[in-house]
Amino acid sequence: MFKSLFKYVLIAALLGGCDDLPRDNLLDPRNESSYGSSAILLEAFVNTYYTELEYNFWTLQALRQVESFYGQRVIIAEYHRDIKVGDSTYHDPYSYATYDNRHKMYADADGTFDRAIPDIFINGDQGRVLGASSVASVHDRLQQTINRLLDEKSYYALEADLTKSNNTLTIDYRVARLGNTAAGELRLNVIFVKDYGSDYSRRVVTRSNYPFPNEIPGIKAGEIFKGQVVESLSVTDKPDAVILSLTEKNSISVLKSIEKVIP
Amino acid sequence: MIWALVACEGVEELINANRPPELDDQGIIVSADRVAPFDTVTASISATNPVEGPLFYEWSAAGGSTGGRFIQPADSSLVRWIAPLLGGSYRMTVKVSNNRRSVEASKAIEVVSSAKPLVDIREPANDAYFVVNQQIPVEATAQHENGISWVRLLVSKDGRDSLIQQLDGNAAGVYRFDGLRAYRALVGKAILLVEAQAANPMQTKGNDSVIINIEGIIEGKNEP
Repeated sequence: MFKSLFKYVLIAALLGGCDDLPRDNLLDPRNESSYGSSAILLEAFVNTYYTELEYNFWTLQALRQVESFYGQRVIIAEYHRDIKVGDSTYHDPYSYATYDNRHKMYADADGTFDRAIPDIFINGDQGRVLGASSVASVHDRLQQTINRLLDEKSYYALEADLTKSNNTLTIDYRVARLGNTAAGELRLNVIFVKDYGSDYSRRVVTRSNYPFPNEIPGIKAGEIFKGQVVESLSVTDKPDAVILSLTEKNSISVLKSIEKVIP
Repeated sequence: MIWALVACEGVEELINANRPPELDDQGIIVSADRVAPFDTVTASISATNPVEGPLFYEWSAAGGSTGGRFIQPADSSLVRWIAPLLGGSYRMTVKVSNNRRSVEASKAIEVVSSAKPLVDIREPANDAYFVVNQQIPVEATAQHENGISWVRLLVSKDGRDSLIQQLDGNAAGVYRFDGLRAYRALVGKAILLVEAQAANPMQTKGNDSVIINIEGIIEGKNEP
């Protein structure tokens, strides 16, 4: 009898305790003080076909060093570009016309210098490392900005599940607004990357949904938006991973980025 | 008639009594008007008194922070002045008085400083980054007690200096160079050197330098 009474008392105590559980988990969107951290997105514009000058190769070597040091705290996307129209010296086989438009968008937003390669944009417009004079000169500038941004709080959580069926990839994603203020309209950028095997083609962008990113409506504080992106995977394409990056609708500043390996 | 003559004498005395000392046209004569710090300068003034009574001499010097120092006594027509450490333009003044009025004369003395001009590069910051074809604005201050005759901007790469621009000295002491655009041969670390020459016979030179990084790029675009 005492045993049974003890059991009820214990259950009652636990239930009472549950009512009083504070929502103090920093990753719980319902916690008004919640926040997280984000990996830093490095978008590099390079050309590896022109070998007379080593600038692009120094930049890519620096990116490998950064990748090795920071691990999953950085996400790298390398856009290969034909830098000069009609000049076959600069014809990079991984280049696509839309990459030039994306480069222009970033360079215009920065405003200090027009498009030139090698050029790295950090979390959109939050840092730019233009040019190279050595591996160290690129690495040092990257490190300075990355360290600063890693200290900043992110008020978004982003998760995704990938399902591959034949040549179709379905991305089910969830965006949560952390903290105590609502988020305005957002955009989800989808970037596919592939490892072509060499140190200079480790993170090549095969395509992206630029300039038509997925639109996400405003999200109230503590709420979660669920969305889906369906992409066909061509046989020639065969990306290894997909990068999802979140920006405000009218901004190129990256709020949150994740990378998922395609199964 | 006698009364009138006596009265005229009294008026003349009255007028004379109110006349100031008269200085020689040469004014203050100095042993040298361009001297080094701590040199002794002998200065004299020749004055006459149109009325009865003694003349009084009061010497002073202005300029710099101290104005220099007179060897005492310094209350006669001839004095000795020790030039201060700080170079620049000084003005020696003598006030000559009789019992009623006084008159002044002054003389400029240049103290030539052997100190180097003080140069400070305000822009760009040390270790700043630029890319090829980018304009590199350079701003520096250069100061010297005797003024600055010219300021030069040089860029040094692998031990070789190249003169980029030269500006004349100015009173404000601020110099802005707009003649440097990064070029491919500078890719890597380069030294920006600003050098200034003092505007005095010693022509001492001072300088300041910063290291800058020039990053190589390939310019071009697919779309306008």
